[in-house]
Amino acid sequence: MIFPLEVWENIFLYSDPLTLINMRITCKCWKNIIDRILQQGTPWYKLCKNEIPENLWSTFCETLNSKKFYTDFHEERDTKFWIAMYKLWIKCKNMIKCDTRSKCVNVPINIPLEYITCIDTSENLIAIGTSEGFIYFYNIPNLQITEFIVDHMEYVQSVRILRDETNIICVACSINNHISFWDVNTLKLINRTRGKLICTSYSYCYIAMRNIISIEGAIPRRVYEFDTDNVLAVGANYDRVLFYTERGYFVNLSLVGNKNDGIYTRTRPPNMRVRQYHIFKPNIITCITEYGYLGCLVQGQKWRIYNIFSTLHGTPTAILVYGHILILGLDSGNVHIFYINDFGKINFNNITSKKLCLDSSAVISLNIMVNAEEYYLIVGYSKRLHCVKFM
Amino acid sequence: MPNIKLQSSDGEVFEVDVDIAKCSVTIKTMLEDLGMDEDEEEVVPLPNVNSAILRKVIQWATYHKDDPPPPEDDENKDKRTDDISSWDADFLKVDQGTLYELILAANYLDIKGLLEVTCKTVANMIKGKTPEEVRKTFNIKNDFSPSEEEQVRKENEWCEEK
Repeated sequence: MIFPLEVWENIFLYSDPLTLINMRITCKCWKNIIDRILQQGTPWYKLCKNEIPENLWSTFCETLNSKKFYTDFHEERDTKFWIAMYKLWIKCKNMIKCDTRSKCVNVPINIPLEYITCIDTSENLIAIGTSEGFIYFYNIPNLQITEFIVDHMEYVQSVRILRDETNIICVACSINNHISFWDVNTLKLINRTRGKLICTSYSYCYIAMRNIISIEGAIPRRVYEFDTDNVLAVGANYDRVLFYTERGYFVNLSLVGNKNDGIYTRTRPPNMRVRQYHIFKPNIITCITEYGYLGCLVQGQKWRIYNIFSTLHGTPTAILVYGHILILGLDSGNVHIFYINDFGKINFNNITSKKLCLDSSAVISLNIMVNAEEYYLIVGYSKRLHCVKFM
Repeated sequence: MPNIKLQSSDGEVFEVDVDIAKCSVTIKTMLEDLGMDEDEEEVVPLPNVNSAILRKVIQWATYHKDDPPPPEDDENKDKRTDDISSWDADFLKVDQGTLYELILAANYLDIKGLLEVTCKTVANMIKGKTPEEVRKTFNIKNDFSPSEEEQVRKENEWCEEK
């Protein structure tokens, strides 16, 4: 040991956390100094800042906790949060190389023809909506059913979970445009309203109907009417709402500023009928067209339509864009995970993917969740769900 | 400008401008504590620094004498290691033994700027090396038992590139 401890400590202050972690194994004395340095938040915060594109922070933050936005975390004090965020980023980077272990859960179907229509996850909670209006709640990691509620016996088109400081609220949207808000702890109905599309982000719920978007949740209800045409898809990123309209307007609007303070772009919609659109943070829309083609649009660019049947031997039925990860669930039941550098142009012929063969019916939903430093992909099928753990 | 005399561990005496010598907090305090008059012909002994290293330190301090005083410790300051000036980089193109002695001297003499730039240089040396290489470079003994080492490896697993 050629230097006194305080000199080593001084040197380590100039090293990044990854180098330091690697050096913990050098000797006991280094490990002690390093562990003390790594208990501080700032080195991790800086690592996140240097490595994770800032427009993805919100995505990761919401998975880790859905009550606080990343700007609410303290650079120095919230060490655990920055470490968790960095670990999630690394996990995503390595996702297509990770080993997986999957567990299948059969959802207790109450009515013979009942099937799963939608799934949402938040922290350790999974909510499952069905064709008969039931909503089931599961917990990870034990995957036990905790509760269920009966919505208004109408096909649940989408289900979302939102959280604020004290409550967990489940929002369900039926095929007849009925929206209900349930308190998950008491299973009591809190509120009913009408709307076609729902989406949640942190403690807000965004509801779209025609050219109107209303926001419910922690703040007083706010309603925005837009000069554009009908909203086809709605997404949200904390204090920004994103939507896409029939005539191809893609709007990314700040709710803090005024209504004209957003990014409005217009892209001609795909030249074929679209079955469903999905919006993902920070600025990506995907669609599935009537022939099962996959469409992808980065705001400000043009739609790109991909025929993936020849490479993946199936057509997509569920899509998830998560940071740099694209996950496709196919009608064959297979799931493909891709690492995409540029969503503006994807070359499916020349890209490695991780393939999961879980079930033989069409994939209905895909969700990523993190609990106690375990990373899961929840794949929903009509009668069951598979919980895929990334090792 | 008055000069003072600094004596290295091997007895060599260097005559240095007082202002330059005072970039060392240790020397500065020593002068104040001893109430040394600046025109007195006294010699300040530096038993922890040999003449070769003291010569380098004086060379560094002379070049940097007009630098603005280093900012107070600021937790939020970016700890960058890629901002070493080209003069400093050239100055630190020395063998490892000299570099280490410079760090020890900067630490002993409490010269913040020199300590910073030398520590950055060592931090850059560590970066990208395996722990085994680092042990060799710095002559550090691995004092983990195999099972302890395995435990640390396990804890580190999550950040390994796959």
